[in-house]
Amino acid sequence: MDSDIGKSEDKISKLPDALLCHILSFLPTKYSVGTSALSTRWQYLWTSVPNFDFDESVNFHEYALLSKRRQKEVDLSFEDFVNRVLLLSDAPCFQKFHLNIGSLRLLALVDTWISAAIKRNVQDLELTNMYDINVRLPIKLFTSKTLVVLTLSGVFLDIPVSVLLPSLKSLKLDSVEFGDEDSLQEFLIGCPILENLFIERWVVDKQGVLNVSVPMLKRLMIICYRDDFLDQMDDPNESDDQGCKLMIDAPQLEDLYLADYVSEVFLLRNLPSLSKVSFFVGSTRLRRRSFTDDGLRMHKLLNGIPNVKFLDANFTCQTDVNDYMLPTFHNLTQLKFGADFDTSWNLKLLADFLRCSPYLEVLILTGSRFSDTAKCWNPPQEVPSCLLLCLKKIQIKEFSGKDYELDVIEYLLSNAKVLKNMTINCQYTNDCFCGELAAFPRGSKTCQLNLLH
Amino acid sequence: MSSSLEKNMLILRSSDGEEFIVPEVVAVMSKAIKNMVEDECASNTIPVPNVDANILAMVIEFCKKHDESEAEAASDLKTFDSEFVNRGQEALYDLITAANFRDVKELLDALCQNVAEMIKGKSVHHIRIQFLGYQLFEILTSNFIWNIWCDRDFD
Repeated sequence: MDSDIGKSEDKISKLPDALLCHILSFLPTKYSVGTSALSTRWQYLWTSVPNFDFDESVNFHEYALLSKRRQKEVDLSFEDFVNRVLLLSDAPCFQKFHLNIGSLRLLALVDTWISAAIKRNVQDLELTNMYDINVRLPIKLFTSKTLVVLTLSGVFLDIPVSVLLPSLKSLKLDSVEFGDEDSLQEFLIGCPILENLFIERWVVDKQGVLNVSVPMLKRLMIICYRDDFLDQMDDPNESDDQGCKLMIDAPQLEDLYLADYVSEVFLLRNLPSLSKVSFFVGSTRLRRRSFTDDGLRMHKLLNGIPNVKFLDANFTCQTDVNDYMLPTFHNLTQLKFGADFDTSWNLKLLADFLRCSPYLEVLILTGSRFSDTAKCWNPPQEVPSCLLLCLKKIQIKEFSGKDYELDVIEYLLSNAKVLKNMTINCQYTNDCFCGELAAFPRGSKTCQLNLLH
Repeated sequence: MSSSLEKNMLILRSSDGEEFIVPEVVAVMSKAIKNMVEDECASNTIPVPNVDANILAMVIEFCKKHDESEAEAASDLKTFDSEFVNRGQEALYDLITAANFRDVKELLDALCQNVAEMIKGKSVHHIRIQFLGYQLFEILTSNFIWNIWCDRDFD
């Protein structure tokens, strides 16, 4: 693109300082500081850049192959670099301070570096600790008036008596170890205007009850893993283990993403604004001793979201929800219905959803080509009203030609009276079902059938 | 509100006198123009001094694209952005100046990000040659902080 290299005058360097600093603010700190060697014009520009991104992890791979002595040298030079940059920086307020470390030697300095950033009124703080010992945070962090975005990973969260983060809007906690059962709730109480919360956790993090009760929260993402290995190591005498519990109370919440194969009890309440929900919820079958009623769990979750508009429901539990009434979803217009990698649709639940979603317009079904469970489709006794009046678009993903899949498609095609479009992704079928699918009677004269190969 | 605003169209006049008719929603992606419109000091035609027709057309193209595409086409927009900012130094300089002067944040960030990518991971020598016009460069002999950590490699 630059045909005028060498001939042109140096245009970029002619930009005013503020713009050159803005350019430098997009770079990891080692590159922005590196420009000081370009010319006298650039020598001190980096010192005004308010963004810092110290990332030791870029070299983790090579680092691991080094000798102990070389590793020490690398750590020391990184330490020296961060110290010098902090010492020389003229930025009165830090906008962004991202620190990514992965060696034991540097853990000891995290406190100092984070404190320095807090002192300069940092707004966006990110600490990623890749080393397998969790690091503690300076107590000052919990009373910062300026923090807006906080991202922590590989951290031991020992919550001090007073937490007040009056500006914090986004909090991301990834693999964080909590000091005790109440740590998270105590932390959240100190964040009065929090809008985004992301929690990714291992179940061993001591937080048996996850209680998210935040008045201004708009977006919530929770991902819970279970460590199978540790689970098998479980002490068999630990009989009064209550299992995990998830509680959400957020009147402003609009968007919820929950991937949970751990919690045995769900309590969703006070979610009137919730319009977009994704559930990836499976059985807690890995817990050998405890008995959980999957039907009750699903029922609790679905009853907590009566106002949902867009629902992505992926339940691997095969238990029937016979005994539990689904609520009527008066606002639901789009339903994505799937299962997990190796489990197929819960057909009873699908029938219930059709019955309880009177205004459904779009239905997206994701099949599972790896599951070979034989199933039987029992259509609802009466044709649901959404099929008669609203449902316009159906998409079948990962169709693999199983009998029950064909039954469902036949039922939908013949009963959906206002259907405009059905798309079926057939990449995973061995045989051609085109003739069979096209021959199904259609309830809607204007319905188009698209088969994708 | 002036009469032109009722029709939701504005006329922008470049420094060399060419006029562009632009929907108001697109024009106000420039904060400077937005302020003029809000303060009702904009007449039918808004002069855009310091920005010539060539550059102004590019800025408008960028703003139009960003106004049209909703969140669902986020990846398309990214592709558009990366192609849009892939220009020679001369045009980059003019565009950055215009985006800054007219306060079009998305454009300014996309452009600065692009220049930053040209610096990222390159040696001093390489940046000087590729990006800054080597001959006119005053070469520093003391690379003070550079050698400390930035340019190191594992040997």
